[in-house]
Parts: sequence; C-alpha cells; structure tokens
Amino acid sequence: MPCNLAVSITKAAVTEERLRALLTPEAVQPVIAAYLRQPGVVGAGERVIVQRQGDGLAVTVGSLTLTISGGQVQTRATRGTNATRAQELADALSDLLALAADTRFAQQVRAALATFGTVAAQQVTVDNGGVTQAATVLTLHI
Amino acid sequence: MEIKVYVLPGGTVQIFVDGQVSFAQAQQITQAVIAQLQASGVAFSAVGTVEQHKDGVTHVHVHGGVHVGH
Repeated sequence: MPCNLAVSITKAAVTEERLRALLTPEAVQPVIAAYLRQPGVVGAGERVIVQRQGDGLAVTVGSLTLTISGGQVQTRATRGTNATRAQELADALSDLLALAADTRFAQQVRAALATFGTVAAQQVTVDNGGVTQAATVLTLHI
Repeated sequence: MEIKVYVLPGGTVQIFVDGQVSFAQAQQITQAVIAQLQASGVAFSAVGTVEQHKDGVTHVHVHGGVHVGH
C-alpha cells in the first residue's frame, strides 16, 4: 500500500502453537506428497510413502522414515540410515511446513474477511523492520 | 474505504485502513475486522492498538510501493 495514504495501522498475531494447529494431517499430506514428487528431491528408484499415522503422518523415503505431528518433523533412526540425508530431508520438510502454515493462515484470514465482501489476494515482498519477507496482502473495499 | 490486511510469516498481520475516513472511523472498522477474524476462528494472542499512521508507527513497506515522507 502506498503507506502515505494509510489512516491507521494495527498489528495482531497468533501464537506459533495456533499456527501449527492449522497443519492437520489432511492439510499436510498432499503438500508433502507433492514436494516429494518434484524432480531431484528423492533418488531414482527410491520408494516414497506418505501415510496417516495416529494424529500425524509417517513419511518413508527409501530407507528413511520421518514422522510429522503438530507441524514438527522427526527422523526415526534405523539401521543403515544416512543421518545426514535424514536431517537434510527433515529440515526441508520443516521449511515446507512453515510455508504451509503461513499459507493456511492466509487462507483462514481471507475466508473470514470475505464476510465483508470481495477480497483480492496478492503475493508481495515487504520490508518488515529491515527484514525482507514474503507476504500475502488481502484487500477489500467497504 | 479500503482495508489491506498484510499476512506475514509466523502468524502476524498488519491491518491498514485507507481512504477518505477519519481516524475514529478507521478505528471502528479495524475493531470490526478484528472481531470478525476472531469470531471466524483466528485466535489472536496479541492485538495492538489502532495507531494513527502519522504518528510514525513502524510497519511493513511493500517493495516497489510508493512511500512519502519516510
């Protein structure tokens, strides 16, 4: 927004716990599966399985098994597991889940704003106190 | 009036009210927006005061946007 035009500015936040609660297994499973299908993410011939396990997901990539619950990724050490590869994959999935949580939160806010009228959404890059961040800007006219 | 809600990483938002409105009107609509968000399940743990932009409150700037005076 051309900020010289803004009349007022208000800030609000939800807790990280609330944000992670948006990462239900139903929401996360297709995101994880789509990521793992991308070229170069897993080795040729490696078996990939993403399935429900209790309140979370179990992700199998070749000989690696990771569990995802409450937005947290954990590796499960097994014999012959490549610890470095497991950690790299866990880190990549953690980053992906953080993005997924932000996306889900933006969707939740957009849906709530829709009660006021048509909401336009745009992806932008912002300077937030000197930190460059990706953001979703939701615009409505009343 | 125009309302822009910037949804930032980590579950934070910044709500801008713009247009030919008084600060009192901007306050009123901002509070209505926050109430609606909360009623819809957006459980804010912290909500700041509605601040007048001219008071110099720090806020996001869109890269490539138009900024005057700061």
